Amino acid sequence: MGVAEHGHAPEDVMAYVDGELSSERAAAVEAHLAECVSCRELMEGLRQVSAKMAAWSVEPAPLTLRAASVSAEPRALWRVLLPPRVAAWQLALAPVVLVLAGLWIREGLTIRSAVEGVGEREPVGAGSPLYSPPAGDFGFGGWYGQRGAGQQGQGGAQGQQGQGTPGAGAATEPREQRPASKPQIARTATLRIMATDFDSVRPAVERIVADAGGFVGRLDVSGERGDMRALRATVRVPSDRLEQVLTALRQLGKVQAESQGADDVTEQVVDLNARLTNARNTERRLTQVLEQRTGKVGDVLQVEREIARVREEIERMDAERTTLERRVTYATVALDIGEPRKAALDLGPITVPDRLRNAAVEGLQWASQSALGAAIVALRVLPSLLIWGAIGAWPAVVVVRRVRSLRGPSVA
Amino acid sequence: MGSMLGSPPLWVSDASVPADSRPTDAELMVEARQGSRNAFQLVFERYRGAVWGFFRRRVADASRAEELTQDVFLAVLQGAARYEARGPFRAYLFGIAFNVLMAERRRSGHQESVPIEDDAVAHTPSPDSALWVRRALAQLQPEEREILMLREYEQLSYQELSEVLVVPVNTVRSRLFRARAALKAALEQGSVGAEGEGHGSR
Repeated sequence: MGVAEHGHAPEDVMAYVDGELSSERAAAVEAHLAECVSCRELMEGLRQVSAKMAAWSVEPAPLTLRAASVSAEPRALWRVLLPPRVAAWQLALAPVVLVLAGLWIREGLTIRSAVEGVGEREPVGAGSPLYSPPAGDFGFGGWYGQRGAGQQGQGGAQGQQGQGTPGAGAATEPREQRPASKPQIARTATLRIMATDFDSVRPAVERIVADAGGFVGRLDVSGERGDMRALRATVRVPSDRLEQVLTALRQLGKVQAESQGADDVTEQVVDLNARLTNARNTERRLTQVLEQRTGKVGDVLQVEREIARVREEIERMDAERTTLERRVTYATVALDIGEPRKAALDLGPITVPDRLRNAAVEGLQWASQSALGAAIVALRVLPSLLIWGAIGAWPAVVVVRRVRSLRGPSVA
Repeated sequence: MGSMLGSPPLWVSDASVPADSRPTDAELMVEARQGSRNAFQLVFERYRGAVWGFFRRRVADASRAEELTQDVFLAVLQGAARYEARGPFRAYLFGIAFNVLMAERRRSGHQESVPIEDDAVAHTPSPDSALWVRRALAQLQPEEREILMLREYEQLSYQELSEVLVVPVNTVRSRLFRARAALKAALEQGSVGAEGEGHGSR
């Protein structure tokens, strides 16, 4: 059945049967069919195929298939969202998924709160350097802590001495000296200042203290130019000029913290004076004994030893009284003068390498901080994100598929 | 066209030959594009049965077939604004239907074959012959089966087939010829093997 034999291809016979030939081609094929048996058989076979296929008919379209039901929203949303065949079991699964998700999220929440707990503890302990507060604050805090401890220690030492002395056997004198004198107050003050001009701070402090007739007990300057410098000092100024000194010091910059304390040491002073008087009386009597009696050498030696002991005690108490009196006479001012970062940068010429270094250090710090922050955020958010992503992705995929399937065809 | 042989396909009298009183598909679509619900209604009524049959023969589940039919007309409705009468409307419509079918098959796991064992046969006047036809169709290559079914059941012209399947008309001819030959062979094999109805014409 070739083109050469029949003058046309077998497909032409089919096209003729299908009515797909132009009228002249159709006429030619028709003419050939009249003569050619094999082509007629072919035609007959094609028609039989069509006839047999026609046996498969389908029922008429259901009445429910109406144009009215074809609208922008033809079906319930869930029907659009869910694939038809699996819709039922997926719907049944949905509550299970939700419950599981809920449980999971609750678990996630407890984990997260635990994480927060750790986070709160962090700065208190040695912690990571990333979470430590700015260096200035930290230093101040540490310094204050040291200072407080020091004061307590002093007080404790005094207390021990006070108790220890009467046991020495010198408490025979009546304690008639009740506080008739004026109250003895040891004043303390702490000042934390952010200096406006750090370079002038130290001379200014020394001048103020000197003007008031006081002295600098201790003075440290830490940090270098361009960094955050700090001046820490303990100055002693006459108590009656404390206010004046504080006022002058406040002029140095912006006061960030200030506290004043008054420690009433009147009783300590009175007690010390009494003990001192007793000790002196004891010393005098012992001296008299030594002068008047001439006993055995052993006795004399014992009296001399006793005198020496009492004298030593007197000296110690004397020193103690001096200290106490000085605490009363001279108020203690703890100074902590810092330098604001911005002002420091404005101060004087800062070399380019210094600036670069500052920037690099800051950059590193920020980088590590932000990395840690991102990690924390990720840890906190990831579990719920995974859940909701998993829950959200499924409808999204389904919707995308639906939309794609509904999109019009590309009619070329 | 070749009306000298046999009766013209059903759809010709139904839709494509415009009696003067009847608007053509393209005209209706233009009206539908302008928002005429009535025009869409007419298009729907015109092709309701054809699209339904398309899916009924290719999808096992009757209710699913109904849904897919609605999907097709929804797509027509939504696409009406973009519709341009570049080709015959039937090609456009069955192009949509074909895409919807492909999407459905992707969704339900690549079932290519014609559904055989379901209740669709019960509705046919001669269930036995229908079953043979379906079994024979199931043996065909997918693309041969598609083109043959579109030709025989949807009565698409060669030009329309070429548009729906996106192949040249020559390919339509050759493929369709191969498909018919293959189905003929399959039918003869089936009838000999199954019941000996004695159709061995060759």
